[in-house]
Amino acid sequence: MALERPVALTEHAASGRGPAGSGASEHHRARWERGSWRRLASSPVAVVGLVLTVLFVLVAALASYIAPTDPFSFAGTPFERPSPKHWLGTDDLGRDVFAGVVHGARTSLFVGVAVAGASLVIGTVVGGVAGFAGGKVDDLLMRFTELSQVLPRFFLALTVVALFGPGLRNMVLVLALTSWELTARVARSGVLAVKELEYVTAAEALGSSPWRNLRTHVLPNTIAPVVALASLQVGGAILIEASLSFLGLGDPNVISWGYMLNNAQSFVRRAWWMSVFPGLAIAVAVLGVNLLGDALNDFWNPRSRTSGAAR
Amino acid sequence: MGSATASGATATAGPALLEVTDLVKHYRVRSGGSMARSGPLRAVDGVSFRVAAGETLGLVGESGGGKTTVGLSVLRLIQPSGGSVTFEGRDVLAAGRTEMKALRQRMQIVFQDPIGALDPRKSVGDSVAEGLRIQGLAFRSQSRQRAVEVLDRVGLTAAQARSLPHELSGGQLQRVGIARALALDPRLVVCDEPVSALDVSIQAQIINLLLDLQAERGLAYLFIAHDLALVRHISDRVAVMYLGRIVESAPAGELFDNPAHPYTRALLSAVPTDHPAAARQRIVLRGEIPSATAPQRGCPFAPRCPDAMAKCSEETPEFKEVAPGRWAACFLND
Amino acid sequence: MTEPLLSVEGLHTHFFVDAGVVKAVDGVGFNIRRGEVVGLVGESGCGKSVTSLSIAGLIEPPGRIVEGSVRFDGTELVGASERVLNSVRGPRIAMIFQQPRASLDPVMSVGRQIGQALKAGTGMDRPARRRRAVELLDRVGISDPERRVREYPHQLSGGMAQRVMIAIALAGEPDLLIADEPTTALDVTVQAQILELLRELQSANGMAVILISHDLGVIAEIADRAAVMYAGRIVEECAVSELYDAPLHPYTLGLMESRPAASQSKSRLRVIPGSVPVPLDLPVGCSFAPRCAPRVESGLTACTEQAPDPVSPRDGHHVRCWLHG
Repeated sequence: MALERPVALTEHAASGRGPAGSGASEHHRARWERGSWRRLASSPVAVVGLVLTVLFVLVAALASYIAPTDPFSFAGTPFERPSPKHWLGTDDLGRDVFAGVVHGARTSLFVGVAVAGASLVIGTVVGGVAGFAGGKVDDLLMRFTELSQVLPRFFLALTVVALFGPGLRNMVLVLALTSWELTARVARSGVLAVKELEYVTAAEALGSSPWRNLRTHVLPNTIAPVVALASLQVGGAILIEASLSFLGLGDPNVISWGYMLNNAQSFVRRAWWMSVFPGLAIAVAVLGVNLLGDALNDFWNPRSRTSGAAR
Repeated sequence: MGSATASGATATAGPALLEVTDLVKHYRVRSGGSMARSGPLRAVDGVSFRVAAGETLGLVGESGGGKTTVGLSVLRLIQPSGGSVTFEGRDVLAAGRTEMKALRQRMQIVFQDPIGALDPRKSVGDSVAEGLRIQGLAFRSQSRQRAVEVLDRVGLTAAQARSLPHELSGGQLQRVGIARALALDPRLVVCDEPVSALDVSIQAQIINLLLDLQAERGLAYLFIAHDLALVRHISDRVAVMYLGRIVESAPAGELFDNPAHPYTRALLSAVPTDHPAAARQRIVLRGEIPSATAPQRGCPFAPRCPDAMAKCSEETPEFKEVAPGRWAACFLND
Repeated sequence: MTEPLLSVEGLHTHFFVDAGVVKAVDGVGFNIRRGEVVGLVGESGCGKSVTSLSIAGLIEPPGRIVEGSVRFDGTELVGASERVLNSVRGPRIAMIFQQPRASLDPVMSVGRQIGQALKAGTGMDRPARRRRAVELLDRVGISDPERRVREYPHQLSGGMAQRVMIAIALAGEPDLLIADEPTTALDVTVQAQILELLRELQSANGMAVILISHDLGVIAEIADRAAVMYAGRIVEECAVSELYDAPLHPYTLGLMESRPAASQSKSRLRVIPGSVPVPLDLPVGCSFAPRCAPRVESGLTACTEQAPDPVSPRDGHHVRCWLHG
């Protein structure tokens, strides 16, 4: 019940009961501290996540240079063990597993980024508008969001692939349309919190239109946790793509880790390298982006942050 | 309510820069729990006053009295439920988008929480320049230059203009808040508890700045505060609010020396002493300011009033002139 | 001379943070006799709250009492075991804070919270605790205590919640009550009620009170003696009336003079220039020297070289200032 705006300034004095007084409390409240990137960089989790993610992205970007062999071409005899010629061996059709793993990174990265990107955009727009407009618009958009939340995305993806045939584009589309709901919620709650802050009212008092306020003050101050969430969604999308491909519902014309695992199923005992290396690739890539996402989340989440002073 | 007469309530010699008549702001209270079936929350319940150019009107009262709601309504930062606000002869509440934007240039606000009122991601210089850009008064580099000039006027350096809010102290941030309002060269500034978040030794510095700026530029202030000594010091006239209504208004000196409403008297007597030896008669009020949801009959102050009569809980006293320039809503003055 | 109830000597409480060492309390000493009310006044960051938390043994890392002694009724509290502290804190030293509602547990009824304090202190059985809780609520001026005892914190107004906090504090019949800005979050008429209640309870129970406030007026209302803190030290300590009539420290004088009541309406107020120093970066010598006008006028050089020790130019009036040294 907001009768008057939160008036209790005295509370700030209270939270400054720590040693450094008002200085400390002001630090508590500032979300953006210069030099805190350095602190982010000093966290081992963040560094490992960052290194793995950069590695993942580099491999995907430079796939054709790292492994010039076409992953679908017959590069040697079937079931060759890992050797200097074929670092990770060959599969049942004599295709180079190393080339497959390297080029598969492209697919995974594409799926992950496309899905997370779409969810970021859709979620921010839906959540942002809902939170900022409030009232009926909010109710309507949030009911719609709940609707999308109850759709089981994995089985929806299965159905779509079964109906329209396997294809990377369909898969990305389905995943993108079903994964923005959490993003929308995070964006909405952020906007709800920020739009009541005095600096937004202050901008309005200067003549700023609601739309300008949303763009210049509200969204920039809410976007951080949304981005952190999106980076976590990259990993989720990679896993679902791999799972679908593993079940044979992936795009047969595009090399992917899930496709390779699906192919390796029948030969687990005969050629362990066919399953181990794509599996490792998935694990490392997902670990990397998730660690980075976690670190970003901690970094931006004000509650998990402690400024230097006590209390 | 004595609405017809109320607009003359705080009449001054000069023409009114701001004229507020019968302002009402009701909030719908979400029913639930013990609050179920209560009426709307009457945050502001028929408030009228005038502010002349270059004048300071102090608005005092306890929290929940509706002071801040009045301040925000005057600038139409919240939409009042009723009444009228006229600024420089223009109807603020009926203004269209373009007219409203133009009006915003003429009336500004300084908030209570100096850090909360500044975007944490923008340099304070940018925050000061923002209004100039929105209003199309200056372009990027020019607005920045102008912001530095205004910040200089309030006592901050060009280097400090590049700081982020968390790098400055509370007093410095409040200077930034004042500079932001000042940059648009307004005629009226609503000051909503501008120093209550600051340390005692810094409060005086900010008050001096506000006084200097008023003398230089002929600013009018609507000065909202709960600190009575401060309000007395800075105001020409003072209006006392209780439960969404103005119960008394008078020139500052007279109001404090000779209060006409029992609530004003109680409020004054509750202020801690100026001196430990100054023993005095204290009127200790019963209870606390009630929530403004219960439908009322009679004077809103009657349940806590030490001088309440039978009549007080039956009829609502009219807000009327009890002496030249002095207005009060109390049967005791009949 | 009887021994004081509380004796704080050479207290240093520092906070070890990334950016360095914050000397929040940097050599504080004072005594409190039984039944005496002492006001601790100063601006944010001066160390008044950390002083009180140090007395109650409530300093947590990164903070630490690095030096000094807190003797309460003959027991040394600095370095005392948790068991000793628990036997003192609560039953014998009680505290109330600025945000009463934040200090109350939102999911527990008022009666149970008072009951817990009673259980810790007295070991009464349940019905007895209930009866006592009702008595205590009545004692702190809450009307209809039988009903209130079943209520939850969100049903209480700010003033009511502070009364409940006081009732909890009184549960153990403490010898010392530490009230940290108890009325700052309250409206002025409610503040008057709470101060009245404190004064009344204090004289009836004969308990000593440390009242912490940024507001000189609040201190003047109920304190016998006042200590003015600045940058982690007590710069002046004397009887309250003397503080008003004849303050010695330039900082105290500045605070007095900058009150709006001290000058003509609409005239500029007297100000203390500058702002409170950052506790990480205290000036050499007297911490107040950079803001001190009398220092400039007098041309004293000691101020910026060495921190002054307390002197007593008058009986019972201590001040840390070279102008009086």
